[in-house]
Amino acid sequence: MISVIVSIPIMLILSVIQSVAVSRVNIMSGSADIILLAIVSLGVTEENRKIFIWALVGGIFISFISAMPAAAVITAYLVVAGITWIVHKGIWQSPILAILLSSFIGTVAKFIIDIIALQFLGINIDFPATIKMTLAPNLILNLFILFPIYSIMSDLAKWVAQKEEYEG
Amino acid sequence: MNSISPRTLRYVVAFLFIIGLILLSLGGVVRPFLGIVMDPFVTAQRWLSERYMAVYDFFTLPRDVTELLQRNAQLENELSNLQSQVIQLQEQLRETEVLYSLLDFARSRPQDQYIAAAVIGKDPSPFLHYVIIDHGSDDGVQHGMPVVTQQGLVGRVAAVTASASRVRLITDPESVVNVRLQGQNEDALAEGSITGDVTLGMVSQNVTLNSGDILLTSGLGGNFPTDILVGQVVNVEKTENELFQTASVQPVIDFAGLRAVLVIKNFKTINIQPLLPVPVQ
Repeated sequence: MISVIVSIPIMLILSVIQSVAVSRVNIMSGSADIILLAIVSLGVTEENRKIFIWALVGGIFISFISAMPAAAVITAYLVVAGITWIVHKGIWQSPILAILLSSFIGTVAKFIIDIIALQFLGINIDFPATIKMTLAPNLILNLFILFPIYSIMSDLAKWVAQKEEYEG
Repeated sequence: MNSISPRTLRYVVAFLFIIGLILLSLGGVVRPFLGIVMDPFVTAQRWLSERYMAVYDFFTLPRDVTELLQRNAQLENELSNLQSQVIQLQEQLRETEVLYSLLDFARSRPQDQYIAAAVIGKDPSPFLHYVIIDHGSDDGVQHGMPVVTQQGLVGRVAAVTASASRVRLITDPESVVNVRLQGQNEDALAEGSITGDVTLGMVSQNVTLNSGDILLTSGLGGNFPTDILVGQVVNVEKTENELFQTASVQPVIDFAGLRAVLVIKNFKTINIQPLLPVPVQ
């Protein structure tokens, strides 16, 4: 329960930081996604078992800010959470390798979901240019700030787990 | 002879001796001798002075260092305070400059009424080009209102909450602005894209399009007021077998550094959709 309660202010703060600062730091058209990285970072920690709740809360907050359809945003973050869960449980137990792989696959998956949503909105997409101008910079920027986010979120996950054990 | 006492004689001799020494010293004759006599004293005094100062420093310097360190820390604190003040003042100055230029723009278009707003965020999606401003319906902002700066057209309000609004930039893929070429009676469309590039389309092949041509809003479609600067033509693409020629447009506004905008509040957008012809089934 504490994990769910904590997810609300944390994801709210991350959403604000994303909108105010992170989205303004661009390489070409791409920018980092700290919500995605937070979900991935939480997903590879042993302590956090409510990653899908965090993804849902993050998706809801981002959908308030973004002009993207809410369903696409929330689905994208839930898919990222699912990918992280599968990668961590099924492929790599090591958190470092798991977050690298999860953030890479998660970024690509979110990109594909966004593209599909934009197609539904009737927006023309130059696919090769979009990959070059958006996806590649997204991957690079996500990689840059992945480990700082991971260190913060893993500490937070440990703290939440301790509180939950104490409460339980 | 007896009148000169031996004592007086000694005084006279001593006086003469002294006078003689003075005269010799003035002539520079005594200096080498004085040097021989004084040098050991000077050396000894220097040695003693150095030792004394070393001992003095030993007892006094640590206290001075502590004082200096305290003073240094105090000055560093003052310096950092002053530096932060300088940064704040520079920030205020920059903001004031932006507001002054917005005010100048507003004065140059007295027919329009404006709501000044600060840009407080950007759409997190890298595909869409929206900014969030700190004024909403409580301040009179409504959906569809055009947004400008002193430089030119920014976009239009796409969503409104009580205290904030989302503005669709002209670089957004869903943005289409009716423009006209300055100095020519030709209309065209400026369309945004996912990558943030603006393209000029629907320009007849008969029109002479050159790099550097200025684009202004035409007012067609009823979405934007007329004669607001949009951008400049950069690259012209003219293919013979195409119906229209296209061109890349460099918007006049640096959207990455957008800090404050003006929402035109007395402009009524016109929905021309019902007037458009419906295709016969």
